[in-house]
Amino acid sequence: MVVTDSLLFPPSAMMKVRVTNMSGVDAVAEVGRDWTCDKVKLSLEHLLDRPASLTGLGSDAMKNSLHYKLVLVRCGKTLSNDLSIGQQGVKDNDELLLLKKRPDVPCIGTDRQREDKKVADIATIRKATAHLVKKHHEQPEEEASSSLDFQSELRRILISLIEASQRILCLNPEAAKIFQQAEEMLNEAPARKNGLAESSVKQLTDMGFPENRARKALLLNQQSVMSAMDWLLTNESDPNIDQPLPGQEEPEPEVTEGEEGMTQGTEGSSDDQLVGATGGAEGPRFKNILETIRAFQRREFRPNPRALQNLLEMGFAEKEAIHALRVSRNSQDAACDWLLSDRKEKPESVDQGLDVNSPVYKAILANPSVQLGLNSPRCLLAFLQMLENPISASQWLNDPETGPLLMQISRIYHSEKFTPFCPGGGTDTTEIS
Amino acid sequence: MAESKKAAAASTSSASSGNNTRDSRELCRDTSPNTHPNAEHVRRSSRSPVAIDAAVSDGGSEDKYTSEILSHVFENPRSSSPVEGATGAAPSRKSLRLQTLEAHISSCLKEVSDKEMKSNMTAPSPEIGRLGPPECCFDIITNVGTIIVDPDRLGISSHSNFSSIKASCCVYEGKWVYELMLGSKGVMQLGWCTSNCRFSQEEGVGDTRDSYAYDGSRLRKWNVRTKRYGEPWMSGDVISCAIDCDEGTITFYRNGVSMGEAFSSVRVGAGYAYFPAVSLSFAEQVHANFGSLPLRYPIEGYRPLQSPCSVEVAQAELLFTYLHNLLPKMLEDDQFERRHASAQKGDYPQVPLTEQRSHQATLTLIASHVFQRLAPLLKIPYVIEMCLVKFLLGLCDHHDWRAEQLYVNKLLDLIWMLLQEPEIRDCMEHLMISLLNGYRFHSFHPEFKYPKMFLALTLAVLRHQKSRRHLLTYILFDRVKFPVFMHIKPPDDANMARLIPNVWWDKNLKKDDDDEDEEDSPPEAQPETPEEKLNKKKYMLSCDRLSERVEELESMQVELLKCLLINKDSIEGKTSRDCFLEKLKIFLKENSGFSRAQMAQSCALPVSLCFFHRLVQALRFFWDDFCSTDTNFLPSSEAFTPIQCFWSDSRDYFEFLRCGGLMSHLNRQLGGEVNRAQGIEVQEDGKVVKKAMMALKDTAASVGEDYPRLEMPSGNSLQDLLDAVVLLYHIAAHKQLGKMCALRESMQDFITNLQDTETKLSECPEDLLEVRNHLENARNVFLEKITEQARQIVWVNRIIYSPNKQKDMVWLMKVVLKTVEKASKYQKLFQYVPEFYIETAVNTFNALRNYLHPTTSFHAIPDLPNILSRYASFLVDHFFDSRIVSNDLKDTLVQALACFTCYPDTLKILEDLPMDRRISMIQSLISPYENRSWAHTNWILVRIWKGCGFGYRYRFLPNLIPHKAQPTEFSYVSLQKPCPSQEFQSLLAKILLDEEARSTKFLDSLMNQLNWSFSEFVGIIQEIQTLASRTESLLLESRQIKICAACFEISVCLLRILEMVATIAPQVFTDWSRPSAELFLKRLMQLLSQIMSRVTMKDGAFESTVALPIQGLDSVTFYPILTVTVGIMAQLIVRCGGSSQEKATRSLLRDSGFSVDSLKFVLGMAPSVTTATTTTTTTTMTTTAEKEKDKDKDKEKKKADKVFSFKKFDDISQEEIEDVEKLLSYLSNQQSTLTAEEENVREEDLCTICYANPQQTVFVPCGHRTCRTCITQQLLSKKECFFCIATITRLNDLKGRQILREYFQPAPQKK
Repeated sequence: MVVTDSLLFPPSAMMKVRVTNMSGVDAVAEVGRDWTCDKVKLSLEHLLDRPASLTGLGSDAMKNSLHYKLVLVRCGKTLSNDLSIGQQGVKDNDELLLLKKRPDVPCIGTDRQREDKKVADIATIRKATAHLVKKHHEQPEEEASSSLDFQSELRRILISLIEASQRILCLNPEAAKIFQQAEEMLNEAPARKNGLAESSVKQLTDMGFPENRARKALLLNQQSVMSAMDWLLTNESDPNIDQPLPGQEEPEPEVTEGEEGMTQGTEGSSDDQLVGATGGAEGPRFKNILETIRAFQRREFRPNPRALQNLLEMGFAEKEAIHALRVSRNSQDAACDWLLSDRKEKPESVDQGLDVNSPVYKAILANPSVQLGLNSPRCLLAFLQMLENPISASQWLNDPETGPLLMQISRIYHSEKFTPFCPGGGTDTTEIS
Repeated sequence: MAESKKAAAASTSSASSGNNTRDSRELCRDTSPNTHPNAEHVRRSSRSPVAIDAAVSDGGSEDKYTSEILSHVFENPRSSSPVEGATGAAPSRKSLRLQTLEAHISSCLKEVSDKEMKSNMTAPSPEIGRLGPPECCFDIITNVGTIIVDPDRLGISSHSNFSSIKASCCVYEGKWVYELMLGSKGVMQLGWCTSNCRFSQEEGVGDTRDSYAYDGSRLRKWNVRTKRYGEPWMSGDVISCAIDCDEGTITFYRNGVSMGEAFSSVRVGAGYAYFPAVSLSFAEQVHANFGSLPLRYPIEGYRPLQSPCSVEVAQAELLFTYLHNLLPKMLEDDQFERRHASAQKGDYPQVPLTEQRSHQATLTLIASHVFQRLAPLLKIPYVIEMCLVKFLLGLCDHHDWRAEQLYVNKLLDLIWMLLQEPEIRDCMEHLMISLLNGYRFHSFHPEFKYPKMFLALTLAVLRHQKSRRHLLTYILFDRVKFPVFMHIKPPDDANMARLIPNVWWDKNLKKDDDDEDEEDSPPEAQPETPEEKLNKKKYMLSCDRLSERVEELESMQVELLKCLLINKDSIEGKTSRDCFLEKLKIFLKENSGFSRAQMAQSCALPVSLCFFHRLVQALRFFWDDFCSTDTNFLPSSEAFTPIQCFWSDSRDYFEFLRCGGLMSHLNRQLGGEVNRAQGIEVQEDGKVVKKAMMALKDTAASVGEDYPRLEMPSGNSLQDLLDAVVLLYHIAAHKQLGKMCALRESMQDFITNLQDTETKLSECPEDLLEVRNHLENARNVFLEKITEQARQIVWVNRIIYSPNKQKDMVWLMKVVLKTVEKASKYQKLFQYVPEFYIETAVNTFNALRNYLHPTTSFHAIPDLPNILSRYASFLVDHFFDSRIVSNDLKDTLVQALACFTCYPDTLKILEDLPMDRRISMIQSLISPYENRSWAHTNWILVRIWKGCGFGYRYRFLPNLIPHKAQPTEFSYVSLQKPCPSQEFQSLLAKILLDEEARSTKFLDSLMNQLNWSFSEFVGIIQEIQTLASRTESLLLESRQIKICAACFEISVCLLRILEMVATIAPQVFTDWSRPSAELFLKRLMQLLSQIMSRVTMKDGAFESTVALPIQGLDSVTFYPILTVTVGIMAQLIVRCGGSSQEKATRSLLRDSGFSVDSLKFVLGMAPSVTTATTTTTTTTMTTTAEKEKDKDKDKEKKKADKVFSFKKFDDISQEEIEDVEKLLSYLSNQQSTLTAEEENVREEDLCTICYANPQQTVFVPCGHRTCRTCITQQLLSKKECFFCIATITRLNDLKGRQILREYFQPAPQKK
């Protein structure tokens, strides 16, 4: 075909070029400007490195020429077969190289599909490793981390933080204001919860319920008049309806006791070694905020009447049952567990902070952002509130100032406790689950 | 041969080898072949060749030159002085001819590979202790969660919260290691697992019994349980995971440094084989190297999972030695040719063919022999990284990176000439990956040597035209993440400590930067000790050094971009810049999305910020360059985007919102206008006729009537680029700038706390041991943290917020402002401007003012007043611009304006605007909005007033523990010091008094808003009260609390504005000749008394809400709302006096809701029991209170402390207290007289609508009657009778005279 082409279009402008093959053999050839590379290569058959036996037939020669390419030396360009050499910039007196083409070998391992199947399965591994000696197998199965009660731990942390924070804050110029506010907050709460709302009692008695029943119903129904009424109606035939709730008599003296404790606390602290000579006029007052809280909490704790009743029905002594509920913060199941267990946790320990020498305590206090928080009255307020009312934690967690701090503390706590589980929305849970 | 190569590569003292005659020539050179050959030109000239062998050519067919070169290149690689051979006639001892060259190379290569094989024989077979395919990669079928795996199956990124994947190989015997290059720095668990491990969305590597992992984000190691371990990692780190299957230990290395043995009792032995495995949380990325590439940090004794191709490497190294010898010859020849050509000045080459081949042909021929063997090797990534990149780095002079890298260029020429198509593709891709990895995962060097080396080489490669085009089209952006080249990785803490050994920080921090202008030298400036001074000096010095080095890197990056933005290399009608823009647009599109999938893939923000700054630099360079050639073009300092760009299709590469909505919508609405503005007419047959430009100029009036003439030629690639830069700032750079601010703020926090702690320590009495201990601990913790931050902040201060970056930002701000200014003249067509331009204008200002400042002072911006004034005009013009449809965008503008009004300096700018702008601003501010909340504009009005109102000078609400405001611009601003504007107050008064209609509408909507917000507020607090009385523990929805607080704040804010109006223009209430004044006064008083009674009600919802410790409602207190209500009363009744006093008193006392007790409340006086409006609850409560009183007197005393009273606040002046007292006594007096009067009114004469006032008006035509107030209020909205819905045509008083005519005049403004 190529030959016929050249016959059809007689060479118009001929050029003289030097072609060199890879063995360094030169040839000066006359080529047409409109020739394709193939045609040039064919005309240079004698430069191709093929055995002479193949050069006889045009078609073979052509086949052979496919293994070669032409490179224009001047521009460093490989000539393509699509255009004529003239179009590709070959000029008179140019030099061309006739180079061998390399076969296109796929890169090592491009054929991955097949190799994926070679991933070792268990049988292969067993076979391959059969001769090996086992090591480190004697170690006991690691237990899943013991289900630590995060709530009670949180309490301890909070207490520790409050202790630390009030120490740091007590030299603040604004300290008086801060502590006052904190105390107000604590004292206001009981005022609000102090007994039943007389209006609700009156509402029920106005409906014709006896006062003792009305009070009981309100106590059992979180002071909601509507639910109390429902309860009264459904339990009307209950013979025990007039029985007073367990613990009802107890709290009253406890209140006064607690209050005494509180006032004693405030006064008693003047003997406290902390106060010393230079404590300043208002010095002793700040330092007792935690005492106030404790006293407050002792006073404030009210066992959940239903839970207490159930525990009493199980046969536990009332005093113990109340303690148990206090330790477990009114969770009946937890209280039951506590009563049945060997009662590791003493009731008093509920009000104690972390061990000062424990790694958790040290790690928490070594954290700069925690230290920042301890210096902030607002965070102290947050700790106090959370201690008093754990449910408020969710609000403080959403707060832009205290939220990150609380997360940080929870993170430190969990990393030191070696538990992968992290309640309270620490990074651990969000990222893993 | 291999050995000789090694020797050559390693020799730094080759001068010592002089054992034969040829080698004696070595004496001339003292540089190793690996150093830059260019240098040898210089050195050579001072020395002359010592010995030259006689030229004997035994290969008859070979010409002299060829054999010279052949022997030089191939025979003795050790004597490879590239330049010597060209001058002397180097002979060949052996008969090396072109004909035998192929065989020669083959035999040499065989020799090398044999040797390599032999040395491998001694090492353990790669297969012992390992199972799996020879090539190790991630095994996609083991994927849990959603992991996107790169085509090479080594790079992975997670698209789900937690995903895990294993590799395809496992090991059971021996010591093994693999590397992970981190693309991000979040939570990842990297390590080993067995085939028994089953992972899930919850359990990843390390969470199961037989898997072990390290996580450098949480600093933990994991194996079911977790313990503290390791160092924090950064993106760009290389983590090596090493396992010793014989001992059963696992160790992790960070950047080649061991972090200690993580696990020492890994179960090994029969049945146990470990796979590399990783778990990633969302959007984390790693790239594994199991051995397909050279290990970045090889670890003694440990083998990679995939055996390195050592034979190929040895062969390639030998071949590169040949090239190393050959390249200088080729360059020399090039230079010769060039000289020759320039001498000839004719058509090149006109030299007729001579007997001999040209040198160039010979050299190329020889090179082709080398490449014949080298080319297949260049497809292997390992060889590319190990040999090609190393070789190129040797050729590239990174010290003089600006110069043309001739050697690199020549080698790339050869690659493009002698490699075949598929070979080139692989080679280029892996070359680029290697370069990027080298740049990104380099180990630390104090001089930034490695990033510099790799940048220089990348630059050299990209300067090569063919390579650049290929890379732009297929590789950069597509196969690698090009923007990473624009990023500079900040050193980690440890390395920072090496760079900046001395630490210093400013102890005299100004807490408020707005004080800065007033007090240039804070009074309590601590004097610096000499030690501190020295420290500061050293610190500053190392900072300077660091920024210098980084700046050099930055200029290299800009150069790199300039290279990609070359616009003169058109191939097939496309230039590099066109290609780059195309890719950039795709990049922007991919990064602008907010979908999760896009987030996981998008470019890291720090990278985008760097990319942005470099682009600005490169763009400005080309812009000014182009400007010098085209007179139509403005210099870059005045650049802007002309409006016509926004309606051209080229900009619409994805659907971003325009000011007027979507592009398609705008085209429908405004298509015709666009044509008119462009001077194009579409004829009836659809033919487009463009008016000749000349005609346009002549009849400028015909077009200029509606639209100004279009400026700046459109369709320029630079304008496209400018647009892209603005978009890049908008989608990424701004966010990152804001993030950086956090570090500075936290550091200031720590410094103030440290100082605080130190003061306390010095004041702490000796005997308070516990307190002391705590304080000392706190101080140490703070000190350590600040030291660390003082180093980190250097990067922020010197690199991110540097003056140079400020320049970029100022420039961008000007560009955007100018664009909007120009576009704004095109009336409706302004709607084509993309929203992000408007936002960018606001964002750049915020960034300059709040982020970069004070590190790089805002006030140092040249031409600041002008910029501020333009910005102010921009805000004033557009915050109420009806052409902007998006409410969010309007809010942004209103907020920006609010920020502007609350600093004295910026307020001044607003006050200095031209009068018409000021008036239109006030008019817009008081125009009631439809369908949207009003709060934002109110904030602005309040700003103008704050500082003048009753007890209204506070920054923090008194009696509230101040807490850190969130650093968002808006809330931050609301805590600024008051700076009232007399100017705007008087302007507002003028408008209120002069523009009747406007002021009526304003006051009406003001009071409606107040009514709404306060009732909303009361509704919520009542709910809270009910909830609080019921349940033991209060649980409130945080959203509701937010609404509650917001409603309260809005109410207070609206009241403040009423106070302002009552003060600056009391006539709108008291001048009853104004048609609605009487009505407004009555409504005002009604509102005030309602609010007062609600707030002060004993045991009411307000009091109990205030008493409850509700997080988020702490701003809801008595003070703000009572001061303002009392303030308004005092203003109208006490201060105004005269008829106003009388009218106001009357209106107030007539209102049934008013009680003097509420006034007594504010002064802390207990309500007298007799006058109190007693409800059942209050009586019971008071009785209980009395009981308590008997019970405990102390408690009562405490309560007294708690009683609210204005007198307890320092924020209220004595004068103001006196006003209130006067008000109280006056009202008490008046009340008695008025009640007497009221009784005279007969009940049947009372208005049947309000039952408060006597009937005063008769409706025409229906004849129904009401009081004046009720009907006036009705008339504000409709002219309908209350009773029969008849349309009222006029109103008469009881005597038949027409009143309130104003309401029945045809309203001209409506139609």
